[in-house]
Amino acid sequence: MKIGMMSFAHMHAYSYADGLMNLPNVELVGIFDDDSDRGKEVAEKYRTKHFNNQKSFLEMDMDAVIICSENFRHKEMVINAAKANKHILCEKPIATTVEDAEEMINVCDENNVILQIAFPVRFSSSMRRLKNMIDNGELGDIVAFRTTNRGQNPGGWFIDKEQSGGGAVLDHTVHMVDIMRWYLGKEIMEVHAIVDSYFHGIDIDDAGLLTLEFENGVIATHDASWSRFKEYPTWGDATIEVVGTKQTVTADAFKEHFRMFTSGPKSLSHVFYGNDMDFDLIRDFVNCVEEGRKPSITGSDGLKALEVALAAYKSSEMKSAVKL
Amino acid sequence: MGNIVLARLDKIDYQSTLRTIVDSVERQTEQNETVLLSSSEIKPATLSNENNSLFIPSTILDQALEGVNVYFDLENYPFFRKITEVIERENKPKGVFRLRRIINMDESKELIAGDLYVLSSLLGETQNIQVKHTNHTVAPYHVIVTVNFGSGTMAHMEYTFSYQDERIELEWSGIKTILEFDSETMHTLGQKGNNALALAYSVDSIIATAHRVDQRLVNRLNNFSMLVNGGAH
Repeated sequence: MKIGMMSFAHMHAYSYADGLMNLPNVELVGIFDDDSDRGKEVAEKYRTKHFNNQKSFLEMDMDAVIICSENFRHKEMVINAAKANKHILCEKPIATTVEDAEEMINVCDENNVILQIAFPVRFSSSMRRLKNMIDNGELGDIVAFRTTNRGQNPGGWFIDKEQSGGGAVLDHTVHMVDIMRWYLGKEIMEVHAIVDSYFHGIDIDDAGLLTLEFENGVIATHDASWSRFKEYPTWGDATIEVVGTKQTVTADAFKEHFRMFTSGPKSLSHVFYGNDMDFDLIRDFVNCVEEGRKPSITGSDGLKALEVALAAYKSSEMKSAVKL
Repeated sequence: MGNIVLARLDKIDYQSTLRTIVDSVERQTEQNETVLLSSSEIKPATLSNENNSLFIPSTILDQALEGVNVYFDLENYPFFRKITEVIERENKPKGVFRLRRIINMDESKELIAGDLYVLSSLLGETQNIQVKHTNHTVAPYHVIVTVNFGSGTMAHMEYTFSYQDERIELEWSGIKTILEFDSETMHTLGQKGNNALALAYSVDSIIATAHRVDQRLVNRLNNFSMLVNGGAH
């Protein structure tokens, strides 16, 4: 299978490219990046061809593309790739506005191409085990969720609202909203949130607490922030606690680690040894294209998660709950 | 003047209690002895005693007479006192505060109002409080309290009323300071489930942290209680 990559603006592009290189049936046929220095560098690293012209890149013979641009460019690249009949894996969040996301989904449908959204946390082995437990009825009825997704300030275009569409709340809400929707099979109908900027003196949010209510009455909390500093033992987390009528179970996508102590400013580090979620996401996408099946994480899943994150900003501004 | 303390007896850490404790008013022979009684068995109204100061948990304040002293469960835990010290080192603490309790189904919801009282003393006046809860007839019963303390702190307080073992988790994500506590992991003995000391406190602590009940305190607690029981404001 021939796959191309569109932009390495998002750091996840590197692990996705590593994943492609490790799949025997996949060829990374080219990289489009209009940041020419970055594009040439990564093309050399992955021994492929660099394109700084999107049209020429999309004229290539390939089956699919992986888009890792700045958030606000997802729409442009998804639509162009769809019109060029390429299947698409798009980095999260799907877009920066609901309207853009809807248009992207529609264009992909019209051109009969797959649009999968990159929510790698779905491929965490602990998250999948918990999903199986829920589906097997081991937790009983779900009563509530508690979730977190905290990390470091990525800087760069992430803290430029025009390019990112939002700060920590947009960046770190969509993963766990997707997991909750996946576990429950229900939609969120109300969002209440406090969004603020505490940690980095930046003009974009770096902290947020969300309180959610699903259509069946399940309630949930989510802590989204860039509160982790570089000396903290790990980059951040992605956790969920599911409170059920039979039992309460916690899953932590980065729990599998050992502690490493060294002499220096960062004395303690958590060294992760769990499954490579990014690789499993890429493998799933490749299988999906190969088999011509519906993606495991659809554009609609990306849209639903985006709606919740954007509602959090609105709720915080209005100082009241927002109905979806 | 002596003291009478009403408390959950399973919460008392006798080793760190330095006062002389007796288990009934009749056995109190010296004024400096403290009578420790079970808060689940004794009503404060039956203890009107001019010779003793009365200390009761905040969860039964509605049963209290004038002039009693009220103490807050959270304020007594050694871990919470240390965490308070660290947060107070910052002039104007900014950050995200998360408190989670798993408590017995029979525990009073007034505990939440008491926690709000304690946290507003630490983090500032509450600007906005939002309360969400599940169907209280279904176990476990879960309550989420979202609080904006306005001065740069936001908080989630979450309560699961269930038949699981009691547990408290607390996190503070501040500026360049992150605090994490989980009573579940504080096994002072190498035996699973043996974390009783993490959630115990001394009688001395109860007396030292207690607040003289006045109208202002009653009003604040009533306000928090109404919010918890009645929804958002």
